[in-house]
Amino acid sequence: MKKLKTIFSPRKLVLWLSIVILIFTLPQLNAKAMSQTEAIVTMMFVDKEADTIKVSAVVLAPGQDKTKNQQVYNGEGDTLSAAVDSVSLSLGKDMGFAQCQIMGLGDNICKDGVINVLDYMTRTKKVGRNAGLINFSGKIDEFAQATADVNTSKNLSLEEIINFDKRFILAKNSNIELFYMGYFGDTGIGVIPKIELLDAPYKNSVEVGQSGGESAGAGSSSSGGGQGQSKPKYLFYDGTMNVFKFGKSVNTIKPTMVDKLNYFVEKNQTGSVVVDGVSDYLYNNARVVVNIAQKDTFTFVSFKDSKPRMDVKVNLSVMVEEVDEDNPTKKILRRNQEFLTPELVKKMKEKVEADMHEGFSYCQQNKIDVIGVYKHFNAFAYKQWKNHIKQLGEDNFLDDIDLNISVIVKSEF
Amino acid sequence: MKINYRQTCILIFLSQIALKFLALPSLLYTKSESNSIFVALALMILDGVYAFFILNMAEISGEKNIYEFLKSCLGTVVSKIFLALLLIKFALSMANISKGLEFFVVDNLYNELSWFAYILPLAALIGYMIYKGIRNIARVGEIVCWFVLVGIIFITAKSFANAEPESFLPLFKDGLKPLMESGFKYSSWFGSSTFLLMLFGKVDFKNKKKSQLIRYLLLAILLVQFVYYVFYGVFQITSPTHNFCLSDLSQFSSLHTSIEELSWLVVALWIVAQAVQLALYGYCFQQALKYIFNIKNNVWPTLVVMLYVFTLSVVGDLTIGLEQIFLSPAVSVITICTQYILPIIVIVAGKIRYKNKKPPKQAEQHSLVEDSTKPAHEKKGA
Repeated sequence: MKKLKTIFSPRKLVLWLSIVILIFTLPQLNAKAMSQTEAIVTMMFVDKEADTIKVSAVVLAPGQDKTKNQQVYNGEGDTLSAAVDSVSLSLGKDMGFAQCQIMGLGDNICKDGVINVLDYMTRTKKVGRNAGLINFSGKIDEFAQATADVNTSKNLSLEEIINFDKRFILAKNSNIELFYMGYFGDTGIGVIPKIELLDAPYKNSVEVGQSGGESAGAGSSSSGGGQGQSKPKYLFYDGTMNVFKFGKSVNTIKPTMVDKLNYFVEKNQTGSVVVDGVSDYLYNNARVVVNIAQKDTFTFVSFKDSKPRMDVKVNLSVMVEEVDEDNPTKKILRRNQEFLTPELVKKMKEKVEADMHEGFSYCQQNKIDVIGVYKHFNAFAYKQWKNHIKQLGEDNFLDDIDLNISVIVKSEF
Repeated sequence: MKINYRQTCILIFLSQIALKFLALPSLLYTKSESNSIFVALALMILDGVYAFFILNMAEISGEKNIYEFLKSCLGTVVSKIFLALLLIKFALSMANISKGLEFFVVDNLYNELSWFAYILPLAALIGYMIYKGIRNIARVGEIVCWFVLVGIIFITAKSFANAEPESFLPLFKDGLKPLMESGFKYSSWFGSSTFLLMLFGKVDFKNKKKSQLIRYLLLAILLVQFVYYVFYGVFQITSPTHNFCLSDLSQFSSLHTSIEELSWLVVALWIVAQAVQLALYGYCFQQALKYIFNIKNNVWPTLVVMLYVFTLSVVGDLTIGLEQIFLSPAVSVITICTQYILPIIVIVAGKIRYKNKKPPKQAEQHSLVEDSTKPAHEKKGA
């Protein structure tokens, strides 16, 4: 025992520990640098053509030339794992997805169902669930090249482009986690932004492809994209949303409708309201653009005579942004003028209410609950709501709801 | 060497929060959904009540350690059986913490970290802390306690705005049954006051303040409730897929911020608190071994504990194997017996044996320490 105590005395213990640590750490000096064995994927795109899965990975390639620090590698296969493996083969490295910030899903795969793709990418490949999720249109390799180009030559990122608008779009900060929440939720609804790659400039599209990085074909891919691109392409995002139901794309919502639906969603903001034909002591048949500085939505649900009723109160703090009229009166030149006249407020309330009713009808017609009706009733009138669903069926629960909207408009100042 | 009352309260605090921020919230959700927050609340309050009574009995027992105390109440054989059962509880708790830690460090925190590189220093650290005694563990706990508290609040508060209170409604929609089942199935993650039994005779109650224990217990309960509220409010229906509560919360909120590195620093600090907890249960394990086998020195029991920590990591893919063990009804029954029934036996036996004895007042404590070793009827006779 005494001998054992001597061997394992605190001082000796430190010595033993140091020796053991040295034995295990010294071989690491000979180990390859991680950058030699693993490629850092920053964006990943997946689509389908016929029965072939196509993938494009934007890989970080650190180097002197910053315009070429993002390279695109393409691959394809019968299965997603085969396609991803083909990219790894061409890279000669494993693909590390921990830094992947964007997962892009092509139109075809969206129609077929994306949940298996997301499961593979998050569970097997360990893509973080906070990675942004987008739907793209166009050829996968060209789209991936365009996004790499946006990153390198324009000093922009896809992430920034879609998140700049996050206050104004329905999907907020769209990512895999939120998509899963929708998918596994009662209604199975998920909403993600849709970005298009156009051949010609359109509205606020961003030109890409003239000074872009390199694209390399890989695996069995036949259209790798070639070295650089001579013909410019245009990335276009206007706030269009792709709606998924239980993992499959079922609808596309245009930005005008997104604005109307946003009134219902508590956390979302909405941009501005255009009110036409305002005539009073201040305006002369004017078109007034009113900016919504802040929006607060309060939803109350109840059952009246076994019929579901939804009361939505919307408080808007606004400021008049732009006035367009033929003969502006001198009154508008006054300082400290209150531009939010009673007539304008009245017209604006009517417009917002009409927009909201239109938005709700849109949801009813398309059977897509993107505004959280189910959630409200389920939370606050659980038993009656379950009975209601039993009677109408899972898909038709929006049909019989009595919607009451009240809008309060007040000046931001 | 004794620890003071404040250090004991800090150990209780750390013990209350130790196993709560890894897989537990996601596991609870599978049974009782977001109402799991009430399961955690109820069981933590229960642990708090146990802590109060066990400490009270520890104070009455004076200088006697748990073995001497039990022997005076229940006899040698029953005491040893009792300690053997406690040994199982501590072994399970160690396995639970060790499993969680390894799963987190090897699979989540580092990419392709060899378990060997993880377990060797950990086993050595645990061994050293246990060898040095409870005072050493308590002092380390004292150091990390506030950092851990502030860090956890910091990580969680970042996601607070994303939590949706509506996701908790409707409350108890399937009644209380799922909550009871949840509490039973995941009881191994609670029972954080049982370790206090092994601190009989090792706590100095001289500067005891009654409110101190309540304050620390409340702090632990509020902290866990706060984290669970944010966790369930943020992840909602996907909660069962988040096995690393704190790190997943940190990761979720950090996509567009530049403070994620700081979050990971805090997560790393929390790992230190987990190591302290592992050492605490290791210490209890070591003490139980000493009492059962009448071992006088610390070397052999410490080596056994180190070997146990090492073995826990070696035994196959323990993340899968042990998970199943912990979720089995047999383990739930064992843990409920050891963490809820055994302490009641201690308290009741102590109350009967020392029925007229009350905790000595602070000023008189020293003089009463000797008296407390005598049973009540002997003193009456005297």
